[in-house]
Amino acid sequence: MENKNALIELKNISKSYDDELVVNNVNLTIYENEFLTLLGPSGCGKTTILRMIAGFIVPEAGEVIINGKNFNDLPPYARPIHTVFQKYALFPHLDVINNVAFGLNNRSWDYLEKFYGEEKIKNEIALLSTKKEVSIKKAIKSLIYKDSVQALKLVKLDGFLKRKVDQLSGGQQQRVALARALVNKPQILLLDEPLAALDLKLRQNMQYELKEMQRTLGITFLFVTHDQEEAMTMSDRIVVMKEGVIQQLGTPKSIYNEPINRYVANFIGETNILRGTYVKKDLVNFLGVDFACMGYNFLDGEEVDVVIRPEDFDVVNLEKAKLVGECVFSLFKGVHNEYEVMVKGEKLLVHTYESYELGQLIGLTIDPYEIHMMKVEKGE
Amino acid sequence: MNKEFKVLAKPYMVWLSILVFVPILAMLVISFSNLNSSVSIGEMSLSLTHFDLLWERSTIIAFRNSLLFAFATTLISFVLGYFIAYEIKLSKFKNKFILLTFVILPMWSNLILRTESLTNIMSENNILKSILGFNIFGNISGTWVAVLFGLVFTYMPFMILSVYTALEKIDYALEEAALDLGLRPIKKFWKVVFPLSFKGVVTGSIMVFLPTLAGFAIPKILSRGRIVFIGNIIEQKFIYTNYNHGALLAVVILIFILGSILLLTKFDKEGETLL
Repeated sequence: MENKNALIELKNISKSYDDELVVNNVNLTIYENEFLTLLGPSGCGKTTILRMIAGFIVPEAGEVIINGKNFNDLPPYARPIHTVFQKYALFPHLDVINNVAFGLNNRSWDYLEKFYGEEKIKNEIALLSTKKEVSIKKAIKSLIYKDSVQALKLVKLDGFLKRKVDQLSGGQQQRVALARALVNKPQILLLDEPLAALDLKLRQNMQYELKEMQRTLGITFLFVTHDQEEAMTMSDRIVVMKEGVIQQLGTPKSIYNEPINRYVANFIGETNILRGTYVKKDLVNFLGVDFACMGYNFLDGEEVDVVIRPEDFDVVNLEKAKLVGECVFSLFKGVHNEYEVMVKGEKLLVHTYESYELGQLIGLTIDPYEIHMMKVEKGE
Repeated sequence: MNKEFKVLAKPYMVWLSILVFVPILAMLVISFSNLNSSVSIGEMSLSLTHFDLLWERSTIIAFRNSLLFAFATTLISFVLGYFIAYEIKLSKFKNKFILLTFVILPMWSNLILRTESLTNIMSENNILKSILGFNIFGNISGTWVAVLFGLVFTYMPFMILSVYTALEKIDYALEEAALDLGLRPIKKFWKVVFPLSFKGVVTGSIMVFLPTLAGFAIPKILSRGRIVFIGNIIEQKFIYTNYNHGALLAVVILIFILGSILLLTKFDKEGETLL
């Protein structure tokens, strides 16, 4: 990521509503061609950040820098950015093709001549002028139409050109909204929980398609969601937010495996968080047992929070086990079984393929590299 | 439709038949008859001789006046009313209902009384002049300006209300989407806001146009009888019991009304903007 060009830089931006700080001194750099997700519960300021980049909200403090220029006071219509809105916001008085072509249709001729470039317009004129001479404007109109059809083809809706938008299903409307933004060839596409209104199956399909589109088109996608699974599936990098502050920024893998604090660990998937003591280098004690660990440096004897993902427990024979507990709850999840195991008064969440009965004893071990530790936060 | 609803709708159907369908039918029949003050109902017969009335100069002028004033009133109400409705929509004022109440406030007083007062303050000596020391309107009572003012004053609230209803239904996200797609605010208005509120404009226009076209009280009072609308002629014909003449002109007005409603259904299939 480091060798890529920074496209958007947010420098110390803040915004408050009614004295409540919703975005608190956020710094963030977004690179070219990356898929970045802002993840957090509702009210964490993620949408506010998106709207500041789109230009609908002016930050109270700090700078929004795009392509090296300060964009703070630039209105939305002057930014090389397009948004896919949460409820699509398609124009009900236009049909599908005119919705898609809306942005280009309403640009000035000067803008469009630059947008398509002299050569492309010349080629189009040559293509159209079989019988009689064709004007530049006509050629541009024809290019807009072709591009719009192409954009609809990209979202697999090229059979719906003349359809009214209210005659489309939610998923189809979603695709039209996407095509409407993409046809303008934005440098940055902002997506504000665009999948929230779709049903599960459709949502999963769209996740893959979005990711695929981002890869092939080479556009920077900035995605906002409260759904951690969605964020995991699509993103190159994830920003986890809480109360207007960035908690952690990293690849899905690093955020999942090495959460920086309890909040992130809890937000990203199910997990076990245990209080332990860092005995000495590569040795940690929790639940009264010493475990080998690796890759962490704390003070000897310092208290730490230990994070173990449910799937990272190894279920073994009782003789070999470091922890032995009683199975108090079980759930069949299809691929694996989910158990709650009571070990010395702590309930541990364990995922395994083996099956156990309620009340049966389960032996557990943990590999050193599966043990993740976090600094204990003050006030916890 | 549901059976219960059919039962519930019955009283209204009876009401509608007695007070609307039967009179319209009677009017249609009378307009093709020779019924007037010198003919009794027993001697009534089919007659088309009175159709000459339609080509009489006075009738044509009255129709011209009605149509001209109706168009002018609709146009002024549209321009002013749209502006007011848009301002109400944009206002940061929390309780917009109060603003709308101000719009319909004049309707709380009787139409005739209101119009009489209007013509009073438009004449040379009036109560406002003695209070303020000068004449707000000048001495316009009896002129076409007075009539036009009275019509706009009376019917513009209908335009404001229906345009406001239409504007209020526009999702703000659509306006944001237009800005996001590169439209400047003025272009956004013409490409998104105006087309989406157009149904309200059509509804409002019809609600202004029809009563202006068919009305007779406002022009009579404000022009002091100098400007004759078709409604004034119909009124006169019925007062002097020229039933067939009156009915004939009323049928012509009815055709205009039906035409307008046809136009309305073309633009507003669900009747959304009708309050």
